[in-house]
Amino acid sequence: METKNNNVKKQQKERTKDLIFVLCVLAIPMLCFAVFYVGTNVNSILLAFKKYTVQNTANGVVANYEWVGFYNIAEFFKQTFVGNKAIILKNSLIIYGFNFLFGLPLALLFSFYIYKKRFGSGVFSVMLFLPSILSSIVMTILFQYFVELAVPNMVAEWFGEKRFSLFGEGIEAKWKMIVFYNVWVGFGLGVIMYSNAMSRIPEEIVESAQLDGISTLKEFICITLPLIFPTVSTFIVTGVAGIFIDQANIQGFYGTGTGAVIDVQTIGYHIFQSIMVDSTNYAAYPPAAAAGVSLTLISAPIVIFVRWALDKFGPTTEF
Amino acid sequence: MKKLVNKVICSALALATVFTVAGCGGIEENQYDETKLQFFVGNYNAGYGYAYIEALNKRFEEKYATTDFGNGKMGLEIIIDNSPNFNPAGIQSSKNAVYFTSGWLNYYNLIAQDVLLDITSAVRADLGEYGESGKTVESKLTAKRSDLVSQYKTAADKYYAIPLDGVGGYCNIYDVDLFENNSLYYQKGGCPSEYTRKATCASAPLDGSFSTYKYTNGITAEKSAGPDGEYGTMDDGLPATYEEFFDLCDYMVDKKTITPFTWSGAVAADYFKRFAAVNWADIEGKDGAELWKTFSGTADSLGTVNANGEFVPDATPTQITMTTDANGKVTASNAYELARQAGMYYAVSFWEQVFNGHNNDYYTTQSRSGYESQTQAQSTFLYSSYGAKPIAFLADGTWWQNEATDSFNALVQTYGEEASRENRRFGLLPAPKPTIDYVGESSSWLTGGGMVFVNGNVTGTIKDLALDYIKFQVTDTSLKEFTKIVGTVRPFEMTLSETELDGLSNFTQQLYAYAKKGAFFSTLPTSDLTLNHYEFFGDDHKFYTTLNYVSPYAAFDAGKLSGKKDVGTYFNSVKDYHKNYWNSYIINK
Repeated sequence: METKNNNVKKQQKERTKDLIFVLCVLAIPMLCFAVFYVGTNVNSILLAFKKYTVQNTANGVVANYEWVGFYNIAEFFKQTFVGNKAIILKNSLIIYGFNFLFGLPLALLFSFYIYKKRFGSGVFSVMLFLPSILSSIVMTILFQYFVELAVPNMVAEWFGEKRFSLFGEGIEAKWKMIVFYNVWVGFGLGVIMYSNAMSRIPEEIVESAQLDGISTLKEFICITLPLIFPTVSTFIVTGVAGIFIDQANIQGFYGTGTGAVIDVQTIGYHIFQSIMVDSTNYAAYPPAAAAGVSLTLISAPIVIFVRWALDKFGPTTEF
Repeated sequence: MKKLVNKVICSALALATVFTVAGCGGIEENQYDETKLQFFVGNYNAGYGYAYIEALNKRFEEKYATTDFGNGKMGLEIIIDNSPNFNPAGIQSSKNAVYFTSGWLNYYNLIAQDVLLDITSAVRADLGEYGESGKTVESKLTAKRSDLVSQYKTAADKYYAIPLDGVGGYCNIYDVDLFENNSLYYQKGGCPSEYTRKATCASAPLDGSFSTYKYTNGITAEKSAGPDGEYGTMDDGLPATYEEFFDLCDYMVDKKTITPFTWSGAVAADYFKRFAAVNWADIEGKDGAELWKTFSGTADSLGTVNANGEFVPDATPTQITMTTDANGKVTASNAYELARQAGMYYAVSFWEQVFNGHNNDYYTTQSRSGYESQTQAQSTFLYSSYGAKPIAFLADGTWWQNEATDSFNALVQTYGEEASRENRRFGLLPAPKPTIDYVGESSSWLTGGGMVFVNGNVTGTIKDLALDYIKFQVTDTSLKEFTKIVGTVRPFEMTLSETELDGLSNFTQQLYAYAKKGAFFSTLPTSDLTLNHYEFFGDDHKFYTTLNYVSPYAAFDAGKLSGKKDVGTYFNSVKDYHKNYWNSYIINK
């Protein structure tokens, strides 16, 4: 009996030691998490309900944070949905729309091509993934130089057309260039993930279908897509979650400083730029925080709904 | 054993996460001179570069060459950080004791956050040790630019920074050599304004009437009076009105194969906010601009647009008022009416004509391209006079010469010393006046921010050195050195001798002369209202519209600024934007 008690005590002691060790190991990461994630986000949420003011008084320059309730959030909704900033909401939806309607299908097709190891598939996979590896600043500068300098100069030299531009002139042309660029660079990660998921499809299923005389297109639609649907569904959900934070690589095109005009801004870029344009302007922080809170309240239910819909109505396959 | 190994690995990983807490960036730890005390200076390395800081530092180091700072440190070593973090937290955690910035950096906010050191003692200290007894930094600033005193001196009668550039702002530059070599100046009697300007102008109008445009190189025949309506001044021969300006542009394009304008396409959307503001400032002058600070006074240049998009002045002046309650909250105001100033309309009108005139031939193709940076635009401008299609005007800023240093050096290598900054002649282009009624009023330019401050975290010896550094850079020697190197003029009292002036470029000489005449002024925010709506009351927000265009260039880029009607639409939307902002964010808020 005594031996049993001793053993229990010894085990408890061991477990306590293990627990202390684990807590020590986790202490610093937990502290980092508490300060840099929880604390920062709690402060950001509280900031959404405040206003920052500066007063130049005879006793000195004084800064204050005043509570303004839902004023900042109301202003955000007013400006973004009915006011003169509605264009940034439209742009965010356009970027997502093009990525969903063109980027996603094309990525699936390219992935299938690579999965089938057709001619040049190795080159394709490198070319499509390259924009994801290289610095986005380098890529946007290269792309912009190509579109706005190289192509017009080549056309001028070969055909004598002096003002040729691939996407036209003016701000609309710039927007088209940004949309095209985002669809193109959006391929990379998707192609890798989809082709990876496709490579896990059991050979026997494919061989069996081929023996039954299935065409390549039918194989893609009836076998490949349903079997990789969980991966596709994950990308769709994360895409929806990212609608309002996607900056669309706009900073790469316009640089730092005052940045892009509102005609080509997305919501994500607009919030980022409102702070970056002058990081000493603390008055810009509460409206940006309010925008973040508001967009979270909008996008969270949408993401949950999309997730539910995909789970409910999407193909359920296991292998 | 396995458990122990796992514990060791976990501990190592946990230790590695500690490094995620460490910051990154800052100054590289180079090989500093251990025998000297290090003094760090942060600099926004853009248009002004850092050559002037190097020269300043060299003399400051010489001053302290034999000073024993203790701990085996004899003498000073000053290190420039050309990519400092200007975020308040970045400044507070930095080793940089003094900062040079090219922008306003929300001065009062930085003071409120205790980022800046109170440098009042240095600003008011006698400069006797530098041979300028009886003068202080403050007295030299007051003598030259009293408007900046009100911006930098707080209500508590303290200073936390001093201005960097007294003429730093956006402007148009013209190629004087091109004008002379191609006879692009108007002759005396060779343009309409010579006969129709007001009799009250410094030089009375000529007798007779205008018949045909006549040009001169300014050497073989006398030049016209120019926008200031006075013969014998720097703007002689230059177009006095919009009509004359665009006739000259047509002449350049049709007869001389000269492209009037070039600018940086990469930053056009931003720069044109300020170009339009500069035009506005020239038309409205200091009095008209002052209304935007005080929100109280008589506005006599307001108007509306008619169905044709033409400006129609109000029959009677408008009294601008603002009432506040005991807490300073604005309860009523019609200050948004200032957006109807004539200067606002004509600024848009000017650039509309530049963008659309002569079938879009008034500017280079590079001006519409996003790859044409500021330095590339300067290069395009400088090299153009050696090619088949020279360019007459560069839309840029007064710092452009310094920013184009590499281009000037490259030109000298190819074409010799005659192509250097000191030998090629460029001038500051005074804006033409919208109509003959404005001819005779002196030209004005807006200046922006750019300041020098001391890091609020400095103490002890470094603090003393920083305060002395503030005084040291405002001595006559330092001010002249700045002008010689950068090519612009600091806003402190300074007199250049004829010999010293001769050593400067033509453009710098003009900047100096115009600064002496008081042609530069600032409209940066000073009151609590303007400080707390800092973005809205800044110069670059003046031309925002309810149509989402933030400048005339943005509207043109979107195909929405072509012709007078579009100018009228733009003007009305600017008016609406200002009214909406006041009603939504200021009055009773």
